[in-house]
Amino acid sequence: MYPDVIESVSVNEQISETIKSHHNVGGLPKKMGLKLIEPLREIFKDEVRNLGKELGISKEFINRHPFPGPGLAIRCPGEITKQKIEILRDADHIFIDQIKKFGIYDEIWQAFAAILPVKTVGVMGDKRTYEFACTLRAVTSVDGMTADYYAFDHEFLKDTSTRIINEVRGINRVTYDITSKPPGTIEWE
Amino acid sequence: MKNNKHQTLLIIDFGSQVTKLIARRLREKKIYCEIHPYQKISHSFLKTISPKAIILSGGPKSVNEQHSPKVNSIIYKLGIPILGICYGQQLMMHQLGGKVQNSKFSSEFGRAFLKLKKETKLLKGWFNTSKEVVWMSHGDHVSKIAPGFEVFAISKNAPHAVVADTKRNFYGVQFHPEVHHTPKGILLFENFLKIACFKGDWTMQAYKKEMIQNIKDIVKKDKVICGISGGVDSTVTATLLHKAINKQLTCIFVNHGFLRKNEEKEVLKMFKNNIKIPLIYADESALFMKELKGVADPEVKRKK
Repeated sequence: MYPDVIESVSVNEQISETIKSHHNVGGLPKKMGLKLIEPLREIFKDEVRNLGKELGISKEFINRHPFPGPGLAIRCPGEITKQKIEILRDADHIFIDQIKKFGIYDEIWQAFAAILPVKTVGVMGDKRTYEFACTLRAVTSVDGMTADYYAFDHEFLKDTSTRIINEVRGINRVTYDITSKPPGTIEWE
Repeated sequence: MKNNKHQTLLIIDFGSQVTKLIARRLREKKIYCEIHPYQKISHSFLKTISPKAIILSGGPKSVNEQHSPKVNSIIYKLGIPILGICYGQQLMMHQLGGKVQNSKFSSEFGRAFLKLKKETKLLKGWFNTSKEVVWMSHGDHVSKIAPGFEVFAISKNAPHAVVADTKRNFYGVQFHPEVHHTPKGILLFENFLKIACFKGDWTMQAYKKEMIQNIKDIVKKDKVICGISGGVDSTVTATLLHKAINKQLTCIFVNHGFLRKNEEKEVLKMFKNNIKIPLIYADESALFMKELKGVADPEVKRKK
């Protein structure tokens, strides 16, 4: 799609710079003995959604948040391990579950958790803990080209952080990412 | 995938980070447009596209630099309306006999205020108050306008913020109407489209029909594989392909081990019950984990 194309290969490589390579654009092997069909190459995310509606795909599915092809792998900065991915998967699940519970899923363009490559000290049940920190990311956007962080209620943040720390083994600290795009990107990698 | 049935607006790109937003704004107005880099513009190319109007994008260079991007000047002889934005405006002035300068006082970045000098069709509906907010991002500015042009609006550091040759329907603006920070930007595009007599004939319904026909034409009797991630994009792609070529399509869903909780189950269920397209499922999570062992660099990670 267009936002992917602009972040990957600019129309004029001499002039503008690559921000980050996108799995949907130019990530395929040079020789694969296949021809490429990309019917969505020229349209934007919200246009893809309109096209989906036009094709009769259910609204509930169409309004799902975008999810990157490489998945949780790019929400785990640093080296990936099975353990970190499992921790992340659980934290992410709780975060999304909370968003649905609070009835704000459709107000948000994209939301996810990322696991940070750092362990920090905490105290749980009078005992010292030394576990990973995770960060939550939720943004609003019209087309993915620019984005603002979502302004959650403090009640929501408090409740979500408590749930993640209580229910996920391996995380003892929850942070919220308040960077807009630009200067940040929506994903962490 | 070409589209010749619609009135086409050609956007010539000079490398601005926001060129795509021009297309975005026009699509909202149901206008079919294509973005092409400036080097591609030739007589035969223009004949194939046969645009009804042209927009010249912004760009990071200065027209006074030796190797800065210049577009083939035959575009000025087509007799169609042209709108130059930022670098596009400066280039138009430069190529048609005006001058562009860089000085300490010629740059503006961010919010700026536009003052009207003279009424123009391009700014119809603007200036309910004496000044309008626009978003600027320029180092150079037009210091002398080209013959045939007049100044219609100014800002603090852009004495020629809006210029036009109304006989030839050439318009140039120093600010960026395509960004949201120029609140009346869309209105400017609407006015330009009116000047160029666009009907607004491009809709998703039309796009669907054309894409289905396009896919049929490309695929003919061949077979197509479509990779499914479970997201909106790949699902829409699969549905579109399925409508076009039905049984020639094979959809494959590879679990790379980085899916969200229960995602594989949900995707399989949805394809079976709602989308109703056969789907082959392969769990390759062990392979991906092995390949990514010890990799920390995000670019290497994405490409693995």
